[in-house]
This record gives sequence, C-alpha cells and structure tokens, in this order.
Amino acid sequence: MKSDPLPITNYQLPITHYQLPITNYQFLMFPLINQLLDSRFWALCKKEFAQIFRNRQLLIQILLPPTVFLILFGFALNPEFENLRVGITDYSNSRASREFVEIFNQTDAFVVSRYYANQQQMATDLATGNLTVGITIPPEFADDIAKARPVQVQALYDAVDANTASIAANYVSQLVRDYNSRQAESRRTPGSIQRARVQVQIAVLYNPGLESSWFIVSGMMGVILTVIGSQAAASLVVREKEVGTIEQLVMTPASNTEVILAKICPLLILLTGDVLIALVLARLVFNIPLRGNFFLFLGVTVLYFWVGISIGILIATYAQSQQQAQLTAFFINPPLVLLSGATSPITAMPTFMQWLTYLDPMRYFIEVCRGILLKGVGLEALWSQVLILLGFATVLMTLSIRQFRQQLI
Amino acid sequence: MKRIIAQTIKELTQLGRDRLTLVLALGLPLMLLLLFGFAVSLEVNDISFAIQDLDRTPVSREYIATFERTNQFQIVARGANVKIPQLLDRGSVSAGLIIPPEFARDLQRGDRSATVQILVDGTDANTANIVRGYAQATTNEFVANLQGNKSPAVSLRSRLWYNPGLETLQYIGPGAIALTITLFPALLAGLAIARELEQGTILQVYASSLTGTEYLLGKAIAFWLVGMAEVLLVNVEAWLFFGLWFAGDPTPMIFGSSLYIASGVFWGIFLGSRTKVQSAAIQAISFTAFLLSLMMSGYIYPVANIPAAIRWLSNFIPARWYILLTRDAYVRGVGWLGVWFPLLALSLLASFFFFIAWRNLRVMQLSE
Repeated sequence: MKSDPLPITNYQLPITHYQLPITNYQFLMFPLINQLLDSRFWALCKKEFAQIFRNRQLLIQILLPPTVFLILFGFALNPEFENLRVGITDYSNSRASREFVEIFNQTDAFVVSRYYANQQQMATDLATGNLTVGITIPPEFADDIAKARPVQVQALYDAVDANTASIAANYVSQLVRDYNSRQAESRRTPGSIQRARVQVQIAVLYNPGLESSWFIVSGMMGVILTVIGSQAAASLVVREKEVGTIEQLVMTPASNTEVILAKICPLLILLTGDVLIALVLARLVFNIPLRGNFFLFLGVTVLYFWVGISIGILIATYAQSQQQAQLTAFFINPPLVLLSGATSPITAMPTFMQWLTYLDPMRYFIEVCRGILLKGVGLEALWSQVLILLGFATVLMTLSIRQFRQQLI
Repeated sequence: MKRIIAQTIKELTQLGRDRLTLVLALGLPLMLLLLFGFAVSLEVNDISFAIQDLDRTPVSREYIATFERTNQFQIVARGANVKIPQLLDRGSVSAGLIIPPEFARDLQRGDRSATVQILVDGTDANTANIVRGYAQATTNEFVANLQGNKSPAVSLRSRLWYNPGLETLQYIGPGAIALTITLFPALLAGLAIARELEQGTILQVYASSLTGTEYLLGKAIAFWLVGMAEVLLVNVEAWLFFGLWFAGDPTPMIFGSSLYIASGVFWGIFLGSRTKVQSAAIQAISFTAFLLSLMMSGYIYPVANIPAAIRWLSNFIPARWYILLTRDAYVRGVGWLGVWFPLLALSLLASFFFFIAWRNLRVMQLSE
C-alpha cells in the first residue's frame, strides 16, 4: 500500500499564507516579551522556580495534602444518619404492637437492634450508648388500638449527641404521625366528613441529594489555600533567613517588591494547581457540580491566594526559624479555619462568634466558592464578598511588604 | 530509675528555657478549647425564613403565625412580592415558604388538599435536613390546630436523656477537651526527639551508658507531665466557660487521661524518631495526631456515620476512645461499667505505641 504524497504538499500552500499576519503580530510583541525576559524580575522568578522544584519536601507539602484532606474530610465528616439503633420493650406483645414496630423498618435511618423483656435492661443499653432510641409499648396497647382509644408510647433518646438525638426525634415523630394517619384512614366511617389537609412539597435547592460532602468539600478549598499557602510562603521566606541568603537578595539591585513577587510567582502556579486538583477530585469523587463560571472562580481563587500568601509572609517576618514559623501558624490557622464556616455552618455559632467570623477572610472566599460551585450564581450575587476579599488582599499585601522591608533595613 | 528521672529533669529544664514553645504548649490549648467548643455547633435555631403569601387570607396568616410561634424560624421577609429564589441565591435566607393563591379555599374544600411549597437551601445538608423536619412539623401542628384537638391513635411521649435541653455544648464540649489535648504532648515529644537527631546531640546519648528504654521513658515522662498539666488546665477552663461538671464518677476519665496522654507521647516519639527532621515531624504529627483526630474521632458527627471503608481507621485513633470517656464523665455519668471497653482500647493503643517507639530507639548506636 502506497499513498500518494502529492496532495499533501498541495495543501500546505494556503497555510503559509495565513501565517503572515501572525508573524506581524509577534513582531509587535517581541519587545515586550524581551523586556520581561531580560528583567530582574524574570531572573529572580527563574531562581525561585528552580529552588522550589528542587525542594522535594515543600513540593510534597504543597501537592499531597489537598488530595488527602479533601477525600478524608469529604467522607469522614458525614451528617447522614443511617441505621440508628432502636431498642424495643414491647409489654403488649400483640399483633397490633408488632405492626406498630414495623414503622421503623420503613426507613434506612433506623434499625431495630434488640427486643427487651423489661425497660431496665433497655435503659442500661441506652446508658452505655448502645442504643439511640428506646421505645416502650404499654401492655394495654393492642386493646386501646382496637377500641380506638388514645394510647401513649414512650420514646427515650440518648441525647448526649444533641444533633443526632434531635434528628432521630424528628424522624420518629414523623413515622408515628404517618402511622396515626393510616389508623385514622382505616377507622373512618364512610359517612364522616373529610378533614382538612395540607400537603407540603419540599424542594431542596442546590443540593437535592443532601450530600454532606458538597458542603465540606467546597469549604475545604478555602482551607487548602489558606493553610498550605501561608505555610509554604512562611517556610520559603524563613529558609532564606535561616540560611542567611536573604542578605544577598537584598544586596541585589532588585527592589523588595520584586523579591517578594518573584517568591510568590511559583507558589501562585502551584496553589492554583492545588485548586484545580481539588476541583477535579470534587467532580470525580464527590460528583460536585461546577454550576457557575469557571473563570470567575479562577479569578477569585487567585485573588484569595494573595490573602493566604500575605498571612504566610507576615508570619515569616516574625519567626526566626522554620520551626517557629510552623508553630506560629498553629496559632493562626485553626481560628481561621474554624471561624470560616468550612466545617460547620456559621449560623449555628453563638452570636459573638458570628461577629468574629466577619474578620475572617476565608469566610468570604468560602461563600464565593459555594455560590459559584453549588448555586451557580455570578458576580451579581457575590460582588460584596469579592469586594471585601479585594480589600483584605490589598491591606494584607501592603502590610506584609512593609513588614518585610522594615525587617531588612 | 535514677537515670530515667535525670532524663526527665533535663528535658523539663530544656523546655522551661524555650519560652515560645512553653507559652504555645500551655496557652494554645486554652484558646483552641474555646474555639472548638463554641465555633463548632450544629444547633439549628433562628432559621432565617422568607414567606411569599399569595393567598392573603386569615387562614394563610394563621399558618404564618404558626411558624412565628415556634421560635425556630426567624421570618426576615414576607408578603406577596417576596422573591424566594433570589433570596436563596444571595444566601440571605436558608429556607422559604410559598403559599399559593387558592390555599384557604383548597383547605376548606373537603375533597382536595391544599399544597404549599417549601424551598430549602441544601448547601449545608445537615441544616437543610433539620429545617425540613421543622417545617414539616410546624405544618402538622397547624393542621392539627385546624382540626381541633382530636387526639391521635398513638401519642408519643419523648424523653431526652442526659441532655434534655439538647444543648450542643454538652456534646461538643467534652469532645473539644479531647481534641485540644491531643496535639501538644505528641508534638513536643516528637520535636524533642527530632531535634536531638537533627542536631546530632543524640550521639552523646549513644556514648553514655543510657539504654534505649531508659532514654525513651525519661523523655516520655517529661512530656507526659506537661500533658497532664494541660489536661488539668483545659478541664478547669471547660468548667468555667462551658459550665460542664462531672455527671458521675470522674475516676475512669482521670485514669483514661493518663493513658491517652501516654499514647500521644509515645506516638510523637515514634514519629520524631522516624522523620528525624523537626519541620517534617511537625507536619507528620499535626496530620496524624490532630487532623485525623478531628475527622475520625466522632467529635462532630458520630463515628458510625463514617463510610465503612475508612471507618476501621478510627479504631486506631486514641481520641475516638477518649471522647467516650469524657462524654461519660461529663454527660452520661455511668462510670466504670459503661466505659471499660474504651479504657481497654486506650491501654492497648498506649502499649502498642510504646512498643513501636521502643523498637525504633532501642538500638543505641549509629546505624551502618
């Protein structure tokens, strides 16, 4: 089999034609690019890139945790309740009572773990935490149901975990209500009047499957940028200080701003990479949608990156060694993370804590993340958060550059 | 024995000289406890709520009033022109109710039921779940009032044991204690070992007549003492700020604390001797001792909620067992009978961590 080469050479002609305007354009761009390539900034940047890629530990520190954090956090912090254990003391022991107990088999939320002969035994299991709910059915249950008399059933909850208990209590009363309406239905005589009813259609927006990971994972993006960004920036700056090369940097004709910007450049690329990894994982592992504009998300991420980095540089200007910088980061990062609403909703915090959250830049970034990813809204709903972030970035950046400069002189 | 004590004293003096670390070790837990106790809350109160009432009849107003009476909803917007989807988009409400125009008429006609729509912000699944339950319950209450108080077939008498007010702090508080004291004993011990290895002072230890076990125990006792001081401080703070007090016999918790701190210290020593570099030791310990405890100990959501594929991991995390002890001491008050298993698990973990740390340190000479 031999193909004819002629047609291909024929086709090449028009392409060369098209290249003309492009070379023209490049011709215009050259001085700009050349200027950048010749600048001190570029030289410093190249040095920083080389340094960071040789530093295996820092690279691992930047690229590994996001993956691990996201997956562990997304799976481990799970408010979905399944198989809450129900204990039953059935003094009635009749067909009616067994029918009643059936209600717990209607949902995945509960599993009947044991039947008890008396309430004391059940109480002991409740005390040791082996049960979440203990149901006691009185001896007269079957009789009362048959004669359509109201009967009381007791439900004991282990409320040490207030959240689980209140959700369980909600479920149980819903199940009993359904049972009651079925009873009422079967008792109604044909002649009786129809009673008023309200049907509630509940639509859960943004996260119809109520996947808890969507909340946690979208919050973790802010955590990653802050924690890793500040730690990496701090350790980069402190290392120069420890080794003593920072004086050499200052001796160069480069300005302090250039020195700092060149330090930040590789981090910007690595951390943006982190966020992209996080987005891909969110998509693949947790099925989290990106409903809004990707470029808006990227833009705000870069904006927030400056905040995280500035925090790191601020820490570094105060610390003398890497160890000190890391320990100081322990002081700063947990409050930032806990007050940001990344792991638990801000609205659930006590009022004075809610006020503190307004001082936390991460709070605004996470609101933007959730807005763009889950709600699919754009700047029209998020402009205030973006403006505040812009303010934080400007102030922190100016502060850190000033601190850095002061320290050198 | 004398040599162990000498090691301990040396380690404590060294720590006393390092002011920054000492301040961090004793001050940071106090700050963390407040954060962990207060900032992590799952209490869903004052749900910001919007109502679009297209019906505007006495009946629909009565329905709205039922929502007001519950004290769980805070109605921030109401009226015929409220645009609920926009409010949800901006995040200014967490749920909204739409009452359709024919609501009152449908309700009063026997042959059909009135339908209302509730839109819930599902971004935070837990809150959404609870809001949904409340909205349903409030509607049921409204209907029950409308029908007159005819008692249902089965009425439920619910009792919430141990924590009748459903206060989150009763649950989060004891967990916060466990988390707060998990980091520093391990971190300090790990740093001390890593520092000796990094700076080469370990060679002097090799040259001395000290055996590996003595060295390990001497270091461990020093940081165990620091850890126990932390336990005391943090508990006092919890009494003062969280209003917690022992519900029963606190001795299992005290006994458990000593095991818990010991397992943390041994784990730190193990990691410090493995990483051999201080900054790497900090990373490794903060990840394993702190973040894993935070996620897998059942501090926020029960351990049973973790998918089975990674749940087994939580059995190796001392905080998971220790939290059971603090919750028993402060909330349940059952005592030894209820918590023998967590105690057993803690002592197993402590011995296991001791063993791996000992294996790493027993050879008191330079490896080839």
